[in-house]
Amino acid sequence: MRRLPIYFLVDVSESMVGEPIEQVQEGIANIIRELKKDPYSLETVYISVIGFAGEAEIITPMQDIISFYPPKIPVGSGTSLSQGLIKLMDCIDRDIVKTTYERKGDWKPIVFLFTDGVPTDDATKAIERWNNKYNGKSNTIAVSIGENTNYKLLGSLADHVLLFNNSDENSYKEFFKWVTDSIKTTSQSVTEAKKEGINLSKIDSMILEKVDPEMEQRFPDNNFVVLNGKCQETEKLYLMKFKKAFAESSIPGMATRYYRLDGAYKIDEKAYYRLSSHQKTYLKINIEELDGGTSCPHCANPIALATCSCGGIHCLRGEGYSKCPWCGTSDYYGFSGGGFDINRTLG
Amino acid sequence: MMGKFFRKSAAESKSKTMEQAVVFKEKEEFKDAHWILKNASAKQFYEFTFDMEDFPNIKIQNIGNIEETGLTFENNTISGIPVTNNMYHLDIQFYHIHDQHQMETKKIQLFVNADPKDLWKNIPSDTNAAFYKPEEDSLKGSFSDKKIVVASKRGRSHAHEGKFREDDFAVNRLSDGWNIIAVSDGAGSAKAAREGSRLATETINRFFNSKETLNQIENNVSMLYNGQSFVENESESKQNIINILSEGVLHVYQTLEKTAVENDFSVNDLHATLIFILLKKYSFGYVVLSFGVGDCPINLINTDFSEVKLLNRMDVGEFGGGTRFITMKEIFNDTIASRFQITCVEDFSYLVLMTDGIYDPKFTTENKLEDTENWKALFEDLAGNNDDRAKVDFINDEKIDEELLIWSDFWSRGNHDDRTLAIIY
Repeated sequence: MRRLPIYFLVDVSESMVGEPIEQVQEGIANIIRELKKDPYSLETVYISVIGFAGEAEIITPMQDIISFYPPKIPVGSGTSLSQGLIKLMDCIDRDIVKTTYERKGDWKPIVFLFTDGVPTDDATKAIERWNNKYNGKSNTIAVSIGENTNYKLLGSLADHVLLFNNSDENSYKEFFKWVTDSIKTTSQSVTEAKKEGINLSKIDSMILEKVDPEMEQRFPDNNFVVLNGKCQETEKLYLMKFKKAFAESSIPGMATRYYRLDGAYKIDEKAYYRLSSHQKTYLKINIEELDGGTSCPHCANPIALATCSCGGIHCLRGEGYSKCPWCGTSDYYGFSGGGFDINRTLG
Repeated sequence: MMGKFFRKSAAESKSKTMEQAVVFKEKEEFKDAHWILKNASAKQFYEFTFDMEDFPNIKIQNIGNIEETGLTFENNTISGIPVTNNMYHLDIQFYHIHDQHQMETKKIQLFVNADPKDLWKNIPSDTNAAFYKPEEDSLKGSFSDKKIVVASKRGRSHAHEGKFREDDFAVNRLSDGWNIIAVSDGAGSAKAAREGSRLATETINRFFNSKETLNQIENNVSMLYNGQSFVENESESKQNIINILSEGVLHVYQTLEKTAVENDFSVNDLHATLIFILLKKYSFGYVVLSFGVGDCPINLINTDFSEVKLLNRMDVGEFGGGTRFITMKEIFNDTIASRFQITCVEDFSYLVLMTDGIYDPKFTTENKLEDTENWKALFEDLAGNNDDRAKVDFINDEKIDEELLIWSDFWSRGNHDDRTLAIIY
């Protein structure tokens, strides 16, 4: 029997925290549920999930649909596409069975790349290696979640570049259904007609849009601001995510940019450190640009955004003496009216 | 007095809040833990124990929605025989031992796999469609002084969508002791492949059902094996035989081409492979003339099972789509002679023709088709040494055709193509 290997190369950078990652998590579970009902897929499809942020790691090694259980998708800091590609290429080298005189090899693997941002490192070398050795031997579909990715870059390594831009719950469902259908029809065409190559399911243009990699594209700078906080009570990490928004300003026709709070989310700490870029960053954001407050996702302290003089962000019960969980020193915390810069992450 | 009271109270209240925080933290950690449950399979016993080592203070009270699955929960273990395949959402209801009244819920998913055999539907093919063909066919009878059994069965992948069997075969007794069997596999991508395979096998058999043609073959065979011929005559006789056989093959191509024109479709829509043998028993042994285009093998097994010969050239591409068909004009070039073989053996135990629906699961790769171990395994399998205990009895063979049909329904993961197997024994 020849296997049909499928790789999900998923961007798990901090900007994916919250709803996107939950949707990806649920989406993978739904893909598995549906493929388990399809006899072609159940018998031939093998899936591996690889995550990349600042670093990359194999979240689920190559497994058949029969034994697959949806993994927990972690997050990390940074968007190193090159680390992701290197990990993917290493996996392909290790997993894929080549046809020999003695053995029937696997069908061409299918790679789904999901990303929502611009790489934070130079991926030229990894893309070069990809194009020289792997591109022709796999079917690659790059899906840009939102417009904040570089289509030209994605086009240089994928056969198809698609834009998924309507990220409410329902369209996520539709999108993952499309992925499922594409896998199903491909597994059928390889087993039945012995045809290599991916059969993409019909694209619903409301959900997904084909993009021309050569298209002129203006990058919206920073779509998100992500802050890394630590819970005072439990000393656990959380991320606060702010989404770009515009407010009318006093000057007609001009709008002021600000970031509105999207939410504060618990993260898997060990995975976060493993997946985060180890470069030191000194990115800052002015507190006046951030709008909205929330409670700590770990201990329910009412203030999730307090900063210590050490630069650490943590939660706080209220005004008064408190201890910083980052540097361990205690001091009096009070409300500050003016603007000041705080540390932000790579996103 | 007052001061003492205050301090005590303060200390107590502090420890209580500390404890509350610990309880809260431990419960949250339990909720956040990602458990990977082993997948269950419908109708098979399942058991999974939750690892509570990291959560000594958490106790699971019961599991909501577990009734749906057909499983039960006891001592941190779920077990039983799940009834139907699905993704089940289970609610683990738990409490912290220092806060026993506050019940909380952790959500997990349990996947129950279907038995893959249950997922394959068996939809009848449309009896009113053009070129209708029954989903299975079989035959038993004599072949020269030997016997023959053939079974041809629609594969699960075709049954799943109500499509047709694309394999076919034809067996005929010809005049002067000659016999012919032809087997063909219609290409999955060709829309009238079922007719291509039927027509190819029928046409080649009809071509040789001619006294005149057989006489010409006969004359050349006599020259070859009467021991009187010189070397140059020998190669001339061989060439003559091949020329006659080639005419037959070309006739098949022309017939298919004509049929395509008459039905207003392309000859590619009839893409089919073709193998056949002409066999006659002489005083000195069996003469077997064989031909093949495509990836179906003809194998001759000697009397003591020590040697297996492949009697045709297999067209196997690097990828699945690399095969050749009888509908391709390019096969009629200078290399066509290499597609024919003339074999003479004193005796043999089996002569086998099959489609890839059989050898993919049973031999995996084409190179194993000349491996005696693999053939021994196949005949043990046919003798009933398989999961279904399906036996094909070559001694008491009154029902051998039915037995071979039942046997050819064997289960093999990922291998669900049409299956045709012909055995001369």
